[in-house]
Amino acid sequence: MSASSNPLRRVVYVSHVVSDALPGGRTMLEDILAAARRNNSRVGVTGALLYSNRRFAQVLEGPPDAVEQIFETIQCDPRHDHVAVIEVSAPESRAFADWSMAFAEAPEVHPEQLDSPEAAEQLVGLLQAAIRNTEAAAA
Amino acid sequence: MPACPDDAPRRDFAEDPGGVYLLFVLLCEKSREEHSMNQSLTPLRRPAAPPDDAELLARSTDTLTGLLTRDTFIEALTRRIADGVGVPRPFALLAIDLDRFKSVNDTLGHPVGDALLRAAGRRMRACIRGGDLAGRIGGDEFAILLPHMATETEATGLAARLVELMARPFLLDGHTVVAGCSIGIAVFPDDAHDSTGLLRCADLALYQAKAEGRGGMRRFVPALRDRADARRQMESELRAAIALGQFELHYQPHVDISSGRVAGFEALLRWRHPARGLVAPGEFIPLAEEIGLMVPIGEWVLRTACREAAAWPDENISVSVNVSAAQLARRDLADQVRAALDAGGLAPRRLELEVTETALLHDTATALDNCRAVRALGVRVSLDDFGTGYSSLTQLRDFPLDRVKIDRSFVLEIENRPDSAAIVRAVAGLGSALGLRTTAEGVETASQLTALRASGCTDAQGFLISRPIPASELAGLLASTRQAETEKVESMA
Repeated sequence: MSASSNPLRRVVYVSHVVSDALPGGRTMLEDILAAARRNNSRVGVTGALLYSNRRFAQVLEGPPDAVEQIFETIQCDPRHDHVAVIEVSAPESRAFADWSMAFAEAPEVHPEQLDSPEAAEQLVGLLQAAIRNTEAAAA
Repeated sequence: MPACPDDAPRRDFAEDPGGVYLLFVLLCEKSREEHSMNQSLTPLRRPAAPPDDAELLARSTDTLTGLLTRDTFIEALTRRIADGVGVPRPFALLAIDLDRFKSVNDTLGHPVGDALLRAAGRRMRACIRGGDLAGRIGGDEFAILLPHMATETEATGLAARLVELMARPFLLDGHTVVAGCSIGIAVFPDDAHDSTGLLRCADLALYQAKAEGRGGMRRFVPALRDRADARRQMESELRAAIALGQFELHYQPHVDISSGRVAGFEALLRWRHPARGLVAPGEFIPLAEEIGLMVPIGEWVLRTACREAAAWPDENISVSVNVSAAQLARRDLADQVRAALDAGGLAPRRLELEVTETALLHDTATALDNCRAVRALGVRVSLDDFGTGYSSLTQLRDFPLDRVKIDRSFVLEIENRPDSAAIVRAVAGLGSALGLRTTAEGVETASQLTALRASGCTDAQGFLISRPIPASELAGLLASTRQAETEKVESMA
């Protein structure tokens, strides 16, 4: 993991699941998560993925170059489209330092919540809460 | 971290055209330099490419994107065409252009522009199959050759996938960029039999895709070539037209509504083409604007109008000349006007320049300076086609004007559309309050003229008064209107 003095980049994006990519349902999600966890940990990227209502919301954070390259890999994935970046920032610290890719499924998230100006901030908060709850349940 | 053997990235890349796992392998690279060097060695999927192509690419890849260079790409294209002689096996050529590369370069700088080209090249490679060749033809232009195409839908399918993929955001140096691309498709041997011809067909289809709003693809059709050929011919003829004396001015009178007298003539450009006869401005002005001929043509019009008007029998009659956006953007417009007046021997008060709102908006500060400078010479300025553009009241207030010309579309419907009539009345009232004359354009019937008079317009121009006439008929027209006027006065007496 990178030292705290190194610059961090955070990207938050939302996208739609391509409808005919879903037959596998959970399998597809598991594939994506497994690949993300495998790839991200190699390059010091952490983050969280939210799946709700056929939409993805993902936070990626880590060394700028690694984040940009992981993001590009994700861009080329045909299983989603309508990708919209809602935040690119240089945060002081990671929001998901312990997770190569945390996962939360939140059926109560509505698309319009992702379109508001505060969406990125809300999303990070939502993901953090969801992950805390998951951890608590698992403990 | 596993070792990254030299061959590993290629194999991964080759086996996963979706590209999902490509970059994580590339991420094994410790530095950007190594990274880009490695990429430059793998512009294609090696296993499927014929050995001679592999040789070709080893020496001829573009250092930025790792794709083939222009020369190498054309060489490969030429060889593929030669292979097909005798038994032409069809193949497709795609010409690809990033839609917003220039604005990325201009706003975020060249390093981000370069990063965009690199990333775009990667996405292209992620889309192509074994044996396909991708090259960077120059700047932000790319090309893909599908040498083993079985059906044309393979080419259109790839193009559609590329358009979709390039429309997705890029994250470059902390900036999100949505570049998008347009694609033109040409097919051998249907469209052309040599590499130059085929590239041109793909380019023409690409221009068409761009003209249709970008972010799309077009298949080449022969009509595109015919149109481009006709356009090129017209371009060279237009460039020669001034020197060959093929331009002439026709004049359309406008009358003072209260007296019925001809107050002036608008000079209208015509092109007497040796084969096509008299060509209307609508057919050649847009092209002249595009190829930068409006300044010399405009200067010719100005000089000719001043010279011809100086010879008219009535020294109270003015001549108005249309001034293009290109002329208004030049700082020396007033000098040109003065020179034209001096050379023609025309009094400045007899010259009026007509400008459109859109031309003023082009470079407002310079346009404003120019309008002030020509008015300081004693030349008048009118705002043409008012009502069709922004119809900005700020311009009516801030630009030094003498006249507003109400667009013909309002005049045409003044009798059957109360809203058009209301607009004419309002503009005439505004003109009167601001001390401007208001000319109604496109007056065709006596009842329209009556309505315009009632609305408060001061002048009228249109077929009711006269069509545009050649300079030689001008004296005759003036004599006959004067005759009619005298008769009218006599009959009233």
